[in-house]
Amino acid sequence: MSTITILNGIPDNSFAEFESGMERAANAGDSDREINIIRLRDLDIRYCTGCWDCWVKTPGLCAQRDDMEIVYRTVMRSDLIVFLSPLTLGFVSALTKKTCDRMIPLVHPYIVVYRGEFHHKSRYEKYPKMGLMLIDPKRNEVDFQNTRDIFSRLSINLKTDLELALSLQGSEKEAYDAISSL
Amino acid sequence: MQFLLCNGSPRGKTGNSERIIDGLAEGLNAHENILIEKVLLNRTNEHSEAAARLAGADCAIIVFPLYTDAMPGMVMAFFEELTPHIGSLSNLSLGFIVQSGFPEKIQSLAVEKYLERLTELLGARYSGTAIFGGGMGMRKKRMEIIRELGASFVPGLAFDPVLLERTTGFVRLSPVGSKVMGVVASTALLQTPWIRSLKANGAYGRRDARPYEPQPPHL
Repeated sequence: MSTITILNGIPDNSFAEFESGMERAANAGDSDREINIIRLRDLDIRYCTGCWDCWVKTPGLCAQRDDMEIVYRTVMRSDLIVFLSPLTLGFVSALTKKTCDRMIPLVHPYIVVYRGEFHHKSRYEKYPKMGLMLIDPKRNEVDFQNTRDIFSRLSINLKTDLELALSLQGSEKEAYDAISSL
Repeated sequence: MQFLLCNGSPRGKTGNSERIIDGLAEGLNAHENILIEKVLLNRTNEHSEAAARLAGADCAIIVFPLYTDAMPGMVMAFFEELTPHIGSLSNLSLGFIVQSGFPEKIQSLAVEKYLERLTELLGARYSGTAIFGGGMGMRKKRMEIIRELGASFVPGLAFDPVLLERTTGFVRLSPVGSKVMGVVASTALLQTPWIRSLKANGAYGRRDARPYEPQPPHL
């Protein structure tokens, strides 16, 4: 059984049909997969303030006491996490970005050389693979590439790989097909 | 000429971004007829007002620390406020300064590409991005470069490309450097500031905690 978590960073109801397609695919009843969809806009997720308490005061625990607790627990028991966002000024939504920022308690403050670069040491033995789904009705290749490059770097920092990067126009069918193919 | 200097650090006035902005302002003030305004982007409830001020400026420079390989979430929230101005900021020159804790430039190159694209989407003129690696300490030499970046920004309204080459020493570790630093990182040497902070907070014994380790299912 594999566990897949979609971190849905769509900030409003603009893609309701797309979200409906995702839900339909997730509930299709595949016994080999558990698909969790976390709608980030429904949660209380605060900005990372750069306090570093999660590194030097309460190792592994963020100082913010909010709904990221749900995200952390679900992410760490997943085999694949997928950041889903509408293209917003050439990148992901602020909702998605602030969720990315809040991932730093999952790594250790200590510095190591990893893949020939300085990075933070792993805190956990295993991290989920990572994916990116970008909704862009115009499917702008430059914006997709720029966003994919940044998430590719994020995957290195989270000691994993960006296994999947999709540019989608936002239809219900695309959502169903994309989730079903995970 | 109206300049807007935007501090994108979630730490606000207490972070290195504020010192960079002060250095830039000092350099810019070497010229006459420069009016400098500053905004703190960690005041998220003031983003709308800040966006309006940016749209009315001749030049804006946005300074932020690298957070998970890009801008902090609250800076992206500020960018979202600029959506009504897409394609309409042709009178604006827009530059960026990105500082990261890691020393290599490679850590910030992906976001640099994005920032150039953002400027294009807004219809503004791109003034360049200065990348400062190893930004944990604002050394004297670094502050001098920042002041020079400000002083040379006028009249071209762009960062001096020669100075941009001096902001960060190297793009990435060489294969030999990577091996050497790998050995150094395996000792306590690189970790000293972290070890010191952990001990000062009585947290050293818990440094390897894994609070979100998945629990095995009950049989």
